[in-house]
Order: sequence, then structure tokens, then C-alpha cells
Amino acid sequence: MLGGTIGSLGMGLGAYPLLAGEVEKSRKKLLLIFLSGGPSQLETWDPKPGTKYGGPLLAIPTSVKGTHISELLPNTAKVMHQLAVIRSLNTGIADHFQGHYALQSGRTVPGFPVIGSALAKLLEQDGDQLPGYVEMRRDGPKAYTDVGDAGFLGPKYESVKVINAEPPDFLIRPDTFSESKAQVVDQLRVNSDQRFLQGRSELPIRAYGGTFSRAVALMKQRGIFDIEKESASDRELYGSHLFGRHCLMARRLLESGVSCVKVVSHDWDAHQENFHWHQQRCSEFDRTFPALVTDFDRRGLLEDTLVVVMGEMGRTPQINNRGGRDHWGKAWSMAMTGCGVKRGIIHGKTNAEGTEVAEGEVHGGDLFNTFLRALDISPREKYQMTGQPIPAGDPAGSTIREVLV
Amino acid sequence: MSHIDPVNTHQVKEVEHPTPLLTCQYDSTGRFVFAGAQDNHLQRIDVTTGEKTLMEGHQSWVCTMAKGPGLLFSGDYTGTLIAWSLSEKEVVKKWSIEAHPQVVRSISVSPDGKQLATGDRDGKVRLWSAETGDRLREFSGHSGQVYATIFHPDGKHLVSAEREGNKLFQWDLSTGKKVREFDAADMSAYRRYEDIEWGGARGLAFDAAGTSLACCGRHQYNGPATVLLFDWKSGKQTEKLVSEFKGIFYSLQFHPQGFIIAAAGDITVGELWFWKPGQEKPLANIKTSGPSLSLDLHPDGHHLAVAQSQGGKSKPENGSLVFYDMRPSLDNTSEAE
Repeated sequence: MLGGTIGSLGMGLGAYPLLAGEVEKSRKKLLLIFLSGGPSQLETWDPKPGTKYGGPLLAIPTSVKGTHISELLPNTAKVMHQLAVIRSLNTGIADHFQGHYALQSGRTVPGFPVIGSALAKLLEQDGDQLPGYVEMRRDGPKAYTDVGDAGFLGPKYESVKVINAEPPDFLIRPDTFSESKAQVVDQLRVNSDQRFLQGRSELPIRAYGGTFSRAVALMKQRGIFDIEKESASDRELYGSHLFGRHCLMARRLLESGVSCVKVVSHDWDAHQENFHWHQQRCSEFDRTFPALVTDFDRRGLLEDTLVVVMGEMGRTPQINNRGGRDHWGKAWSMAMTGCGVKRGIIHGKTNAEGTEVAEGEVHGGDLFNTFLRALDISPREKYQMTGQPIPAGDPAGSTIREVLV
Repeated sequence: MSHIDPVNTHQVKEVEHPTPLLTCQYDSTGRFVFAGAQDNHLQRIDVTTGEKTLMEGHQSWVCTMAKGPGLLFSGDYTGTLIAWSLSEKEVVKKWSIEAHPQVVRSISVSPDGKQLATGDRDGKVRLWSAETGDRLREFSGHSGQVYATIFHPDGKHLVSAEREGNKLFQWDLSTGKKVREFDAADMSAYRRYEDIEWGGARGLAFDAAGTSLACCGRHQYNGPATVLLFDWKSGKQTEKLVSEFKGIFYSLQFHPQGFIIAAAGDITVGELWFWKPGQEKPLANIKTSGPSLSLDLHPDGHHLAVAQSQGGKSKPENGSLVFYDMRPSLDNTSEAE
């Protein structure tokens, strides 16, 4: 959304009010850690060692008495008292694209905003200049990570994308485009807008102009993407791998006033050698996530920030011929912590072999509504789009009251 | 041993198991085969009768084994390494150690049987006393999981293969230092799209003279299963034996006659391939009844045992130990003795 426009601007930066740089306490925020590809619930939150489909890995005790998780998450086990884990998701979706969209939008029909865009809208405050939603992932071809963002909310609420922990492109005015020239061009735009406003609806034109002011604000605040400004000890705490750097940048952005940050951890799609694969992925996750939870708690960020860890689906209990686990949406797990949710609890359970939900079944819409509730937003709150009120949450879903404070 | 022509290879017996099999190993007499499966136990299977004896001691899947004189060594996903004393009457646990923090990926035994080497998921290679289980040395340098180790027949060097780096390391056993690397990039099927190495080395073998080193695995994203041959003296890759099987060679051995036997598996299917070094065209290849994850050659040089998974479409429900005879079918009595 910002590409191609930001770099041509460079004047009058001081004229724009900014919230960036100030540590906000009042506004709720979301950090969504999306484990793309679909992590295995059996190798993460819901291990079943010694059972028919349990696989070769063991379960280890956690900081919550009587609760065990996979041996692949030894550090996460130590912060289990901070987490609410749901072991009874039944979304019925075993497809990457559908799962990505449904888990992030709370809907299965297309066109709805994902949670990041929804929060950019629902948590928007007057005077906001920073983007409401920032998404981070590695570079590479478009994959099922990209399922569309804002839907009917429009481009204003699309995510700003951070690729490979680098600031978004075009945040620096090119040397070949002088500041004086930028001023002339921008004044031309302002004049044109004012002329175009005459006799027309004000809202879309003001919104258009707003993107320029936000772009300029972002140029001025580009330092919020610079994790080199964080201390060496914090960089070490989060780790030098991409997931760690993205998580540290996420902290920096949330503290600067961004409403929602999504960090994508890639490649959990373990159709082959599932146990080898999860050892790799979990070691990265377990290096950073528990450190983040402890750090966020220490800094008070968990009071206002909901931290969600989930994928688009789980993986089959049955192990395939390649030693992999395949797509599975019937009985799987996720975790969260932070504002609005109880900590140190497990909600729901699967049966002995992990093939079905046995208690506390949760659907995708329930999860989305619960995220909203945790952020003090009613799922019944409505977007007023083209005269048609549309509920923010899934009207067919409920909230998981057992996990909400 | 009579001359073997692999084209005659045929199945002679199958012993079923309630979970998919992962690894198998004959004892030195050839009367028994030991098998590890997707359960927490090791089985001793009488080749003649099919009778099974449970060997308790592991807490997770037994995924790798190797034998020495009168001993069997087994490793599991918890990092436990167990030495078993073998006799015709019984199998006794000799020692058990926590050899690695997690998975023991590979085991091999030195030519004199006095030492064994293990590779783990963290890239560590360790050397142990076969008699006591005492750790003698650790070799550090791999960045990926060590899926295979093998002693050179000279007893002075060890070779290890890692899954992600597509490099084979040669270690000096007396100093513990890395002597050289073999480039196994042809085994790579790295997909940046997923940041995953789908290929990678899975098995290693030396010919009897120690002049040729073979490494098996997969080349390219959808296969084919591939064997690379290296000249030990120069360290150069000399051959690339590419099968027509879209899957992975998980296990291979040199037959005493000099040809290579490799076992492959993929979704619902498996094959055995036979090559003579120096000939690009395989000597033979046969389909197996299920994906084949491990093979071992009988001491008689005529028979093979192959660990397989069976049943289901893509998700096997059980396994079987399948025996093959490489002699013409008229020469045998359908008994894998």
C-alpha cells in the first residue's frame, strides 16, 4: 500500500502529529504468531506418547502441575503458567488457503477482514498516523500466507509488510528526488484534492489524503523498524534467526502504537519426516517464544496485548508412509496469553488417540470472537459499510468464556 | 557363496507386525532378525519360525541398529543407546546409556567391533566403547542431523553424513579431527519456498576394500531416489546412480560380490534397486509390498531382510519384515534361512 508513494515525500514532517514512539498503555493490541503450514498438535500442545498415533517423542512436565506438552518445547514448558492452551479446536478445515483465511477472519465466506485488518479498524483512534496492522514474513513466492487482508474494509486497513526483518520499502526519499521537488509535487496533490473536493463526497478524498500523511509519518518513524536500536541483550534474548528478529521488531512496533502485528513462522507443513521437521521448527519457536512471553510480562505489555499462537490447522494423528503427518482440522490446538485471557489453563481435550475432540469443542468463529472479547471488543460490534451493518465477529460463533478473565 | 544375479531376487517370506517397521538387522548367524518399529520395543524374530521375542528397554521408537561380534546396539528417539548380548538362547541387556540429548539417528560399529559411533539430531557424532558404553570421543562440525555414520574398513577413519548440509565428513579416529569433506550436493532437494531440505543423505556404505564410498538418499523434490559413489582416495564423486523411483533410498549395502543394494520407499510404495558400480544401468529393481525403510544382508549373501510399512492408503496401519532370496526361485525352498 505504501510502495511507490512514501519515498517521494519528504517535507513538512514536523507538521504531522504522531503517536509513534510513545509507549501506549490504554489501547489493546494483538500479537499474532502464525505458525504457517499447520503445526502438529501432537508434537506441540497435546502430546500423546505411547499411544497408537503418539509418535516417538515424549511429553514433559510444565510449570502448571499435571500439564504436559511436547518434549520439543522445553523452554515453553517453563512459561506454561502464563498460557491458555486450547486443545479442542475443530475447524473442519484441512486446507492451507481456507485455513489461513478462516482462522484469521473467523469466517469461511470470502471478503471479510482478517484479524489484523479488523483491529486496525476497530482499534483506530483519532490522530493515528502509524499503520494499524503490520505483517512480517520471509521473502519468497506468494504462498498460502497471503490470503488477503482487509476485505471489504478496503486498502486503508491492509497490512504494511515487513520482509526478512527489513523496513518496508520506500521509507527513504531517493537522493535523486530533492526535498524541494517533493514539496512542489505534494502541494500539487493537495491543491488538486481541494479542487476535486468541490461538490463531491468528502470522505474518500480525505481518506486518500490521509494515506499520504501516514506515509510521511512512517518515513519519519522508520526507526520503529530498526531492531539495531534495541539493546544487544534483547537481541540476544530473542535470537538472531528470522523469527526471533521479527518477534523483537513486533515488540518495538507494538510499543510504538501499532494495533496488530502478525509474525509468520513458516514451514510447519510436515507431510514428510514430521518428527525431524518439528524438531527443526520447534527449536526456533522454543528459542524465542518463551523469552518473548517473559519479556512482555516483565515490561507490562501483557496487560494490554493479546498474544496468540496458532496455525491454520493441525496435523493428522495417523502417520503417513513418509513419516509425516498430513492436514487435519478436526482436533487440534493453539495457545494464547496476555490481556483478557486466563493463564495457566488448558481448555478442552481430545480423546486418547487424538482423533476427535472429547470435551470443550471450539470452532474457528468461536476463536475469532474470543480474540475480540479479550481485546474488549464485542463480536456484535458492527462495521458500517455501504449502509450495511456487518458484525465484526462471527454471528454463528460464541466466545470461549472458560478462557476469558 | 554361489554367484548372485540380483535379477532373480524374489520375496520368500513375510512376518507381519502391528506397527510400521523402521529398521532391521540380522544377527551374525543369520538365524534371527532384530526389528525396530513405531512402538517402544525391539523384536527378535526367528527367521525360520517367525517367532517373536520382545526386548524391553527402550522408551520410544527404535530407529537405528548395528551389530558387532556377539552384540547388538539399538538407539531410540529419546537418545537412549542399548547394547544387547546375543546368544542363541537369549538376549541380555549389557548396558544402556543416555547417549544423546535426543534422537540417536545412526549407529555403526568399527571393523574390529570394539567401538561404535552414533550420530544425533544436533549434529553431534560420538564414539563409544562397545564393551562398556564409555564415551571415547565427540566429533563436532555438523550443523544438521547426522543420519548416517560408517567406519572405513581400515579402522582409522569414520564418515558421517548430515541431512541438511549435503556434506559427508571424514574424521580421524585417533585425533578426533575432521580430515576432509565430501560434496554430496547432488543429493540436495532444497526448496527455498519452504526452507526445507527434502533430499539429504540417509545411508552410507563402504565396499569391502574400502575404495568406494556410497551414499544414498534422494535427488530433487519429487525424487528420484539416488545413490552417489565417491572414490575414497581422491574424495571425488565418481558416479551418480539415479533410479526411476520417486522417493528416497533410506538404506543401502554393498554385496560381497561388489554390487549395491538399496531400499526405497514413498507413499504406499517401495522398491529394491541393484547396481554394479561402473554401470549406469541397474542390474535389477523390484517392487516391494510396502515402503522399504531398512535392509540387511544375510551372512550367507543370498538373502535380504527388509523392514517395511504396510496397509492404509497413505497412512500405514502396520508393518512387515519381508525376506527376499537373490537366487533363482528354483534353487530355494521358499525359506529365508
